[in-house]
Amino acid sequence: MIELYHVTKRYPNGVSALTDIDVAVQAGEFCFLAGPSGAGKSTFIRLLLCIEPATEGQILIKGRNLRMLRPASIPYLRRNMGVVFQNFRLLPHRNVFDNVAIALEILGISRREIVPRVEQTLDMVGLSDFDRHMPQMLSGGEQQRVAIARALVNEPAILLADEPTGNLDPTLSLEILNIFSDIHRRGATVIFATHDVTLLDRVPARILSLNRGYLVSDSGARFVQRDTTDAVPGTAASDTPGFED
Amino acid sequence: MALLSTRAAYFCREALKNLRFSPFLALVSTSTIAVSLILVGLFGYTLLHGYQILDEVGRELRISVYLKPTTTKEQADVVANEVKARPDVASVTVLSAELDRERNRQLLSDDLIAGLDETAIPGSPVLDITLTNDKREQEDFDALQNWLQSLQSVDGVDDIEFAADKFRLVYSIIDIIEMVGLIICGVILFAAIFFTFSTIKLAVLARREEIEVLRLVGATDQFIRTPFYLEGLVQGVLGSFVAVCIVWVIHLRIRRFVQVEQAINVDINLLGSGMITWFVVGGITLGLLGSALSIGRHLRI
Ligand SMILES: Nc1ncnc2c1ncn2[C@@H]1O[C@H](COP(=O)(O)OP(=O)(O)OP(=O)(O)O)[C@@H](O)[C@H]1O
Ligand SMILES: [Mg+2]
Repeated sequence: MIELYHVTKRYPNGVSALTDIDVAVQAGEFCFLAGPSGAGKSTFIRLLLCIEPATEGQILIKGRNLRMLRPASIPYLRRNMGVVFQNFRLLPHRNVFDNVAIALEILGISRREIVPRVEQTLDMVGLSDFDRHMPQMLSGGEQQRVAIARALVNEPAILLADEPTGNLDPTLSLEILNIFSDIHRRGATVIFATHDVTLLDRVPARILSLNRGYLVSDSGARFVQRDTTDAVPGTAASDTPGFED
Repeated sequence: MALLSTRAAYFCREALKNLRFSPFLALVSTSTIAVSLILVGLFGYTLLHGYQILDEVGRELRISVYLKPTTTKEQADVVANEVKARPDVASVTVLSAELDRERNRQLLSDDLIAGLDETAIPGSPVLDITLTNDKREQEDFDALQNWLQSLQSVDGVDDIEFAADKFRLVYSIIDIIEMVGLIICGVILFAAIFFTFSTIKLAVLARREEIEVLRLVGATDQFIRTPFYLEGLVQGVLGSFVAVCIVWVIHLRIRRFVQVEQAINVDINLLGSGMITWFVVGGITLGLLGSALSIGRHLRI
């Protein structure tokens, strides 16, 4: 599903954020990306999202080499990947419903179809009663769940999370982790970056440890969904177009 | 088709949201578009039609050469023949002092001359010159003026009245308008683009975070840009609408001034199809250009 071959990322200022990373994540895996601050976790996620190109090496997602991707195809790649950030990154001028709906809006899905899908997803993260609230009115945990709903609503094959619990207290962190675990059980491939070591043994998962840009340990796949599909099942079949457009 | 219409609905909602986000700036840029459309339109109109109007008036020019009261008929004929020799003179009529007086009497109202002594009404021998019905450039007027000056020194000539004197002034004013106008038009058009650019740039900047998030969830460039283009378009259309309204008012006022107060029968139609076309096309172009510039610069990753 996600393959990295000798991937190195050097920022223009000379910092090597990732060095010679060689790893393959299978479809249906739950993968922690662990490591202290500055280890390169965010960089890892950014490379997968094509926010930045790798300096060296090749990255393949669903068999597609990101280097070969035309810039115009990047949006279609991203539609295969839901992403959640530490600072939520909700749209401040839109209410909870619209924040989630935007992921479907960009696909050109009609409002009539959007409504039930958003409601269903909000229900899944336990926010059905908050759909008319503005993000600022929500607690951190609630905002993060909105962000998760947005990442989930178009049923992507891959879920990326960059320290989604970084701003939350331990109880909330566990709650969020459980939502991801749930989604994983439904078949999604999850990459969950965190520096919080207490989370690592809460769910059965593969642990990739980064330090100063090196992949220092890999626990190996511990838990792979047997009957994986490319989408988050339990809802309608994915109609996200392939990123090859 | 369904995709198109849901998209369109979304884009319109977004564009309106942008306009609501900075109504004051939108107002500024809309009015700058309107003002620049109007000024450029009026300059253009003045330059195009100013010459046309002058042409028409300049075609029917009369010159009155007043001769000294002592001039004899023969002397007058000599001057008349000299004048006739010029190619741009169509006809010359020699009026005696009595005939001129008669003409003046007709110009004055009856109660004014009632009880007046016949000789109190001015009258002197005069040559009425009608110029040929030609199109005249400013150089022609200059030449005419020079000729009239030399005529002034001819024996027997007392005074020359040439209604076209002021035309030379108008010509030079138009020349100045032409030069200054081009510069001002350029500056104003630039300002209009700049203000639209700024409004939309501000909207883009204010929503930078939002744009970034849209990118991350897989929105295409076109999806992100379209609402901003739409915003520019709306500003352009509003600007042209305002321009049409304002020029309509100006049009009515000028028309009344010219036709009623000045009693000149010149057909002034400020709001012709050319002007309206300019407003609509110009407004849309300015709006779109402003948004294209601001988005082009600020929407790259
Ligand atoms: N845009 C950038 N330009 C230059 N250097 C950067 C940039 N982003 C990250 N770095 C550097 O790359 C290294 C890895 O950064 P990264 O953000 O990937 O770490 P991280 O593991 O996510 O850390 P944290 O847990 O603090 O989020 C750091 O040394 C950082 O200073
Ligand atoms: Mg980070």
